[in-house]
Amino acid sequence: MPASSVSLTNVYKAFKGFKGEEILAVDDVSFRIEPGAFVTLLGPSGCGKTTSLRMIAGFENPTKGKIKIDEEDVTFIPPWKRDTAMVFQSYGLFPHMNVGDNVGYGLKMRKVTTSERHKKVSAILDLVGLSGFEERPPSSLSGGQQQRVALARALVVEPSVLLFDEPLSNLDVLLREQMRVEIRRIQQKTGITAIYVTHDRTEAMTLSDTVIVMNKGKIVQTGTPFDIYEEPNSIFVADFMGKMAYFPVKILAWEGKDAIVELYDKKLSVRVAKNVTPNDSQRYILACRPESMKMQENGKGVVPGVITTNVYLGNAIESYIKTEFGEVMVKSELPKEGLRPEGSPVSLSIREDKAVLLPLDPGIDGLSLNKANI
Amino acid sequence: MKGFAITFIVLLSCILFVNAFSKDPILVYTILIIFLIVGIFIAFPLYQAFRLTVMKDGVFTLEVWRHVLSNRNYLQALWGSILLGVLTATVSTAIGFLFAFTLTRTNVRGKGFYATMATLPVISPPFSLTLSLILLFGSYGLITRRILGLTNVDIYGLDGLVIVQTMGMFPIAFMVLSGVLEAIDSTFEEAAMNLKATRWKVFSTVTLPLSFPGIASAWLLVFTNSIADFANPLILAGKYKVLSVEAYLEVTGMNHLDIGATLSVLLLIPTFLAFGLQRYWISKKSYTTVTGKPTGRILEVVSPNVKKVLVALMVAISGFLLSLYATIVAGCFVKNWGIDYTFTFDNVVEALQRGKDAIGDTTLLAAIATPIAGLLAMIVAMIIVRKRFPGKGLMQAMVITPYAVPGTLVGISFIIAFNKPPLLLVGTAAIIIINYVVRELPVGVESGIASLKQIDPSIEEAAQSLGADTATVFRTIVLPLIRPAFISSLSYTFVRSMTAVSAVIFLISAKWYHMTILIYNFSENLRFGLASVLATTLMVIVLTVFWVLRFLVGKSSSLQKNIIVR
Repeated sequence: MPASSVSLTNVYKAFKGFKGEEILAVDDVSFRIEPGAFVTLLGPSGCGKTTSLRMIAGFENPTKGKIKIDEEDVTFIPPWKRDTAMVFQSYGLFPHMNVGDNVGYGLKMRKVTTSERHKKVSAILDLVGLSGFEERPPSSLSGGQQQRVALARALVVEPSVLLFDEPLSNLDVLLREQMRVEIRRIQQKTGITAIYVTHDRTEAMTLSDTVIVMNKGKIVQTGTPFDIYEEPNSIFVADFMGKMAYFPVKILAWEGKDAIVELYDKKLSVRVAKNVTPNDSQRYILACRPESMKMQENGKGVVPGVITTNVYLGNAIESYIKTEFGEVMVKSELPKEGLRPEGSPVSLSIREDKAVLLPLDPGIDGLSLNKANI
Repeated sequence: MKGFAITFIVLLSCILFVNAFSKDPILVYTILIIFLIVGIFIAFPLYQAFRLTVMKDGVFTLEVWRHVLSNRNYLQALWGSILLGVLTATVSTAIGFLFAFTLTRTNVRGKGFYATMATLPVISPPFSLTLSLILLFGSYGLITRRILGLTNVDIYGLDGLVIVQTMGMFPIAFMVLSGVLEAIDSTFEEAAMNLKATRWKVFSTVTLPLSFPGIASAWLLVFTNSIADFANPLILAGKYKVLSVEAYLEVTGMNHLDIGATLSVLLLIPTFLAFGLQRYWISKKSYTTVTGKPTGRILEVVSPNVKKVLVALMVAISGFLLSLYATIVAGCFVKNWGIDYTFTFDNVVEALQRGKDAIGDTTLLAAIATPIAGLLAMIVAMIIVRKRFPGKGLMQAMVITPYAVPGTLVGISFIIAFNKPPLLLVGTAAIIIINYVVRELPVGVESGIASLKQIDPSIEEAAQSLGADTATVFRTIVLPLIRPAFISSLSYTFVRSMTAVSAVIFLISAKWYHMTILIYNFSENLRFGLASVLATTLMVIVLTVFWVLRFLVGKSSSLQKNIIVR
């Protein structure tokens, strides 16, 4: 299958609000997606990710800016003339057609002969694991099967870009995990360029080569799933990707990409967030993932605290620990000596290679971050 | 010639502009064409009619208004319309409530029969109830003269009109009220009874107050229908004066187009008042109690004796209605009603002979208007629901306008607007077809909008992203999905066009005649037998269409809801 690059250059999209005011849904967004890549647009609802996707599909016109597919300017090309195909959250299957006609619709539009069409439809249904479903009406299928039909319908026209608009959010947890693997497998197999919109960080991390995190219409960070999770460049991204513990620290020195900080009279050498140039007038806070901290005997670690709650998850334990900076969560395996009971005093040690120093916006109380986390 | 050249250049530059700057030229053209249609055939004639009421020889003057408002005859007609409206609305609402309440709140047997009785008259052709009322209760009526031997009865006038309009319009009240009563959860009534309220207390403190908004809107709907009604008073008013007929007489009898226009504009005022009251006051007061789960249980809020009374009333009304229909059919086969009741086929032969051209014309024109109105309505609905473009609110308002405007005004405004070049349409078939399309468009558009709003927009977007342009999406996705709305809009247009009177009476010509006007002519000449035959023919056509439709859509409910109007 062909694969194309997609690029957005300084794209803006303004909507009229209820009172006629302008709302910037997409605010100066630029990115480039290489052919064959799987890219996720990740962010909370209203961050502009879906609007960006709909502009790539052609359902919305950008207020300003340029959209290119394969270096061809498609900004003002209608959806039906673009070589993209979209998979929708609500499937968007044609209720008055059976599965075969649904999947064959795009081929019909492309004037593919009937016999060729039947061949392609059955091949693609095979790929998504629905061989022999041609005659069934969509309403007789389960949610997962319906979404597979929608996927097949998009794939069969061999688009140069495949677009996904939160395709799994209507499915239950188990099915979602299964479909996630499926989508990744099919994308790898076909080598098609895929752009995937979601607000689910797990989906973004497991599916994509590159994650683009958006907030309030802007791109806040772009990187591999690993980068985004391990080295967030802002408190927003850090929080969005998962739980964090925050500790106010005193900066003693900058050492290249690291910083020497002081916490409870102990010196730690930690990484500085990417794209952050050390600046003494800026405030910083140390951020730590729950699995990058360890509970130690009282006095052996850095931050003292008391266990308030233990949550047993089977493969791990989440312990909530009350510290001077608020309650933080530590995730650990079950220790050999057994569970530390609630109320035990502990001392938290921090993995210096995993902790990251994040800039703190003026006016934000570093201590409130841990509270908001709970 | 110069005008044509300018028009051509403007059109050409429009086309070039759209092709160069629009992502979706088909859509832009469609929107422009719809604006053109609505502008020329809705806004323009109404504007011309208003203009005529305040302009004379190119100068602004209120002379016509002064003349109309100082003339006792016209004021009498205005008062007559309002009085008739108030009486009909009150009686109709009472009967509608009787049927709706009994059918939704008690366990009577034969609910299907009563529901049919309470909806059937909506589709009965014009003049049919009037005719049978005259045949039964006129001065030579079967009951009045033959059975009771009365010689000085006069069914013509206010009392006859109230009876005929009520029989024809109580279904409107019934449909509104049964919808409202169905939506009131009987849990409220159970709760009240549980709190030791007597049956009468439950009814007067719970059921009735909760259905008040429904009662008010039913009343207003019947009121506007009654004062806009033209067909019944045309035959039955006698010396009693109503505005719609007065406007018609001014235009056709005296050739006073300006006075006719003024009278029908006058008719518009109470209509708009009622319409506005309905939209902005009552709809806000509604206590629709949506609980998500209709209980389906019926609490018997009436005692067995009261129920007997309710059923007796329903039987009486249904019986009366059925006897009216039977009379019409019987009228076809009687030599000379009132004088000589021998059985004969003469009427049938003569009526079909003399009416065959009119029957053909009527059917042909309705058949041409039907697909145009149906398709146009669905296109407008899709554009209004799915597309964003400047002037959308204006387009919707203009499309809906003919719904609220009495047919008399539409008819008069059409002859005012289209009697000179370049739009010389008076006397052609086109003006009749356009009138049908424009008048029946609102209902089709509304039902199209309602059903499109139920459909997930991503279905259409999926089709677009698979390569279907706007026209293809409409043809292969939208139209099949809103098929019930489409079919009901088609049949609605057809039936309403077949039974049109109030506007079309101004637009017919020797070449293009309408069956209903022929019925009117026959009854004016006291040829009730011939009129009965044509009325029965029309009834058969209408019922056949509905039967076919029921077969096509499967369910009649959506259609019946659409038929509520006017």
